[in-house]
Amino acid sequence: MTHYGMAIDKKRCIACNTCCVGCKVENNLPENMWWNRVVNEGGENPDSPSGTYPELKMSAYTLSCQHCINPACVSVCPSEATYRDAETGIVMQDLDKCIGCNLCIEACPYGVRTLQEDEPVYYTDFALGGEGAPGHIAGTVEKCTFCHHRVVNGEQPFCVEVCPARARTFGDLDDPDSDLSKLIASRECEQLQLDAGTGPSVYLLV
Amino acid sequence: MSAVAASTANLTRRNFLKASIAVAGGTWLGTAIGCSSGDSLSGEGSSSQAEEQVFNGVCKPNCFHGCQLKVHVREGKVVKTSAAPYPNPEFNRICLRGLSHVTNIYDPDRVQYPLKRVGERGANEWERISWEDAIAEIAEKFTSYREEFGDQAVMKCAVSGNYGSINGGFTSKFFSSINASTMAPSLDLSNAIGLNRVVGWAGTWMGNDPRDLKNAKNIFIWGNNITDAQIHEWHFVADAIEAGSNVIVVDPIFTHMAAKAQKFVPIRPGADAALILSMMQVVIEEDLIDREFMQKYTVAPFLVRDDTGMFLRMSDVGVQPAEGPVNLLTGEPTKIDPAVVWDGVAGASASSAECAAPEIEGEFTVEGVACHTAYSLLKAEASQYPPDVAEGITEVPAATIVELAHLAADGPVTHRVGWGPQAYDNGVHPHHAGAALAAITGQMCEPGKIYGCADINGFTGFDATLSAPATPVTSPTISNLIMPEVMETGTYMGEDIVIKALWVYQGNPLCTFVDSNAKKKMFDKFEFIVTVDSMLTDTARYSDMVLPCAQFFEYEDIVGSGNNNHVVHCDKAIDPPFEAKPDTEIMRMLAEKMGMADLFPESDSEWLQKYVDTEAAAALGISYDALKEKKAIRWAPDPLVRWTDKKFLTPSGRMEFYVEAPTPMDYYGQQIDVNREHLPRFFPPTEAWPENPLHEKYPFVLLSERPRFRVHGQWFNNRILRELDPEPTVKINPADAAAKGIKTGDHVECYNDRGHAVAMAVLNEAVRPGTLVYPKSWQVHQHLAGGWSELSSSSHDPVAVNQSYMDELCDIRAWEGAE
Repeated sequence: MTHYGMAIDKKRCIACNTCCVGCKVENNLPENMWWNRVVNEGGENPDSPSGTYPELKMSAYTLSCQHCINPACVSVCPSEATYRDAETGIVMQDLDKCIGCNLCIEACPYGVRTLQEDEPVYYTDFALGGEGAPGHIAGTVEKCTFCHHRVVNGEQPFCVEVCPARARTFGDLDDPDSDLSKLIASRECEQLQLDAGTGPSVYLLV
Repeated sequence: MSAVAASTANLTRRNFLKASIAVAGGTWLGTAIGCSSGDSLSGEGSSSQAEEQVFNGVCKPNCFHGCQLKVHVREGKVVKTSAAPYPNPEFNRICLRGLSHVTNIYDPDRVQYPLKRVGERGANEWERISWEDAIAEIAEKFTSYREEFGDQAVMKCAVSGNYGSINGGFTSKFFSSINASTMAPSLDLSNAIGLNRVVGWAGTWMGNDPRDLKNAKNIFIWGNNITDAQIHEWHFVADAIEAGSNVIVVDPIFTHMAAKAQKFVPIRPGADAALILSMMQVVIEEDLIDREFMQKYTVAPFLVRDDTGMFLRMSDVGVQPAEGPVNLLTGEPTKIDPAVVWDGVAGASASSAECAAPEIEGEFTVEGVACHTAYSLLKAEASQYPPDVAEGITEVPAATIVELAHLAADGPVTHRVGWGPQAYDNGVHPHHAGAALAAITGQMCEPGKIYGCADINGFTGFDATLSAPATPVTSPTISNLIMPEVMETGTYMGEDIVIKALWVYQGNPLCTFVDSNAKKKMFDKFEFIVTVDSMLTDTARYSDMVLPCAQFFEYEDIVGSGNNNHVVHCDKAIDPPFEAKPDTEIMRMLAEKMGMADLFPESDSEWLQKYVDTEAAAALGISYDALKEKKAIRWAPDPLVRWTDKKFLTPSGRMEFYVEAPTPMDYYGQQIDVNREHLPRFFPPTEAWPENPLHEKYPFVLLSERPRFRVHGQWFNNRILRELDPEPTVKINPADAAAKGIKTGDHVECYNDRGHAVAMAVLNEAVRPGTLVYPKSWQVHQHLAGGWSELSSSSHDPVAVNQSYMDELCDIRAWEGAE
């Protein structure tokens, strides 16, 4: 089977938020819903370094669903709304089944799932985003789908396509010849919270 | 699987929620074509039904990028923007602003119809008027002002707004045809002036193709937060780092660019010229200069007369000038009168045109005239700044200066300059000095060797005559920097002048010009101000009439500017919403009302076709039809590497680090210190300097940054981006904040004698102690009080006539309450 994953190059990521905004528009995310966020490594505020001026360090990466091999969210979901797609390895969310119980939010070690608590409020009175983008329903939990609606049509996730830093690589981790597999093999990598045992499919190139 | 999960596995969303939640869906559900609430409940795509059309667009603010975008349209609405393919995919680009056009186009606060002021200026109280009434009133006022006071009584002003072609082309044609005066933006020029005085005027901001960065061994980045301000050039820098380039960032602020560099050199704001002169001193002292390059391609060997400061010419030693090609403007032959150099082998003076290996150093007396070589004069200037002296000025350690000097001589070296060091009253000189450093080290004219900026020179082969009036404009162009004085005194260049009406288009001067309180007083002297904009900006709010214009994707255009070196066709993707009109249509209406119905004989498409179908364009395979088909065509050499022919655009054809006859950028009767301008010098900023007595009262230098969320006031209200960056902020070093008792989240007032701005404090170690950094482009009404442009100064360098955005001091305190 195909096992889609992603690499984010911390040497290239500049915390510009372009991928986050691309995700926002492509998926027609309602107000205040963000599936992808910048994590600043340094001080506590955006674009703030660690250290004392001028001995400073700063880096950034983005955080969204890690599309784990053993997703903590799937095992706790009481309604089979969350599942790992057999064909792509993408962790999906069936809003029709989601009961908004928040167990997945509590279980996910990455904090990348969000309850759309109220009726979604949109920026426009028509749907934004890509063709086939997912819907949004009050009382359900949402997250990154690796742009499943694009990937099944042979396209890249939108965040990968728009990244001005060329920091994001998407591909099949099961294919040793994929650009992604070769990149991961050639670079020092980190994965987030490996001790949680979830087997994340996102790699940070350091 | 947990027991709980197992026992509830057959729950469905609907029986879990029962009737407690109403039918779900978005506010768009009622109107989205072909998309019922049932579709949404199934979790299916929200937008998969309507057919999508993809148009070619160009994002056209003045961020330099001129990005070609795909504009995705369903049912007549833009639903998405994405990166469009360039012939070379390395140039494919989009950023967070380019992606959030949807919330600019459909901003609920967009100006929907012509507005006429009913309250005080700036009170934001309006009545809706018809286009017919608006145009009639403008035409009547313009006509009466011109009849009573002269053509100059009507003035136009544009700044950093829409960098398309046809909008500005039509507006220029109209206003030059009524011989209107112009308020000049006078901004961001000092780097271009300093650089171009050495290499010749090769375009306002000139540099190499970003793909050339990887050919450099050492890359100096001077005051340029590429990672935010020129986001699409960052990946080329990253490529260079991967290819082994060593990147050095010199900046007061620890930007993401600095964090990515191998070396960050923090510097006192406004001190760059002293650092570069000191690097020169080291390079000269250690004999790391490139003698042959200097002999052949710079004015180093030219003899400079001690008595006049001018080059000694062959005519000074009795050799009559030869006749050169006919000057097309004068019809007279040009005179060729080479500078004199000293031929060391012959022990005699010689023509610079003939002597292959002239002396570059020394003092010589020729025909009784005492002279020094230009290089000797430069060397004497640099010798004042040995590293220990420069350390005291720049706060860069002497050992670091020596290290930087070594790196600057270890080529290939690329110097990439931004817009930080130029934002002070001494802002020409760091760039004059930098270009001189490149000249004496021979770091020019080959791949990887350049002193330059982001190259944002546009294609110059368009038909500019389309915008030209039938008779030349005689009304003046006056810098905004002196406009407050001109309006106050009613005089310009010693003569009376009356200006009554102002037409603001493609810009937001009350936000983006310095010293906005002085500018408001200047605005108060105008009887009638019209602003063309799609949003109620600071300037629109301070106008008497606001005309709603089309945004980027709402009319056809062709764009040849931006740092991608392509000419791009911009389709009309959608109709302008509400009553908004393209600038072209507004100009047609006004021209017709003012009796100039024949001013624009072509349709917009015909105009664009004439504009682009020139011989120069054809030679590059560029035509209107080709652009309609291919969308983007490269106009520049591929890749663009400057000066490889070693022929510079200066009078001598060489790098003129000694400027024989410096002139002001914009002459309004001011005096300039010619002697100062001959060579790169360090002198402190006018205000933002610790030795300034005002520093005791106002101990912070107020720096600004080009934020990723806005450009020159545009995107200020974008609802998506405001979720990431909701309100005006000011960044402060934690040590300074502790001394002031300020915490992140506090509302603070930054203030000086000119004005104030209230913003949310954000503690950040990236900020140099003793400075504050504010992200630009918020509108005044988005602040709790004041606005950032109130604090900046109208003081300027009389040579550059350039706004000094960072030459300002202030203090900061807790904000106690509302005004």
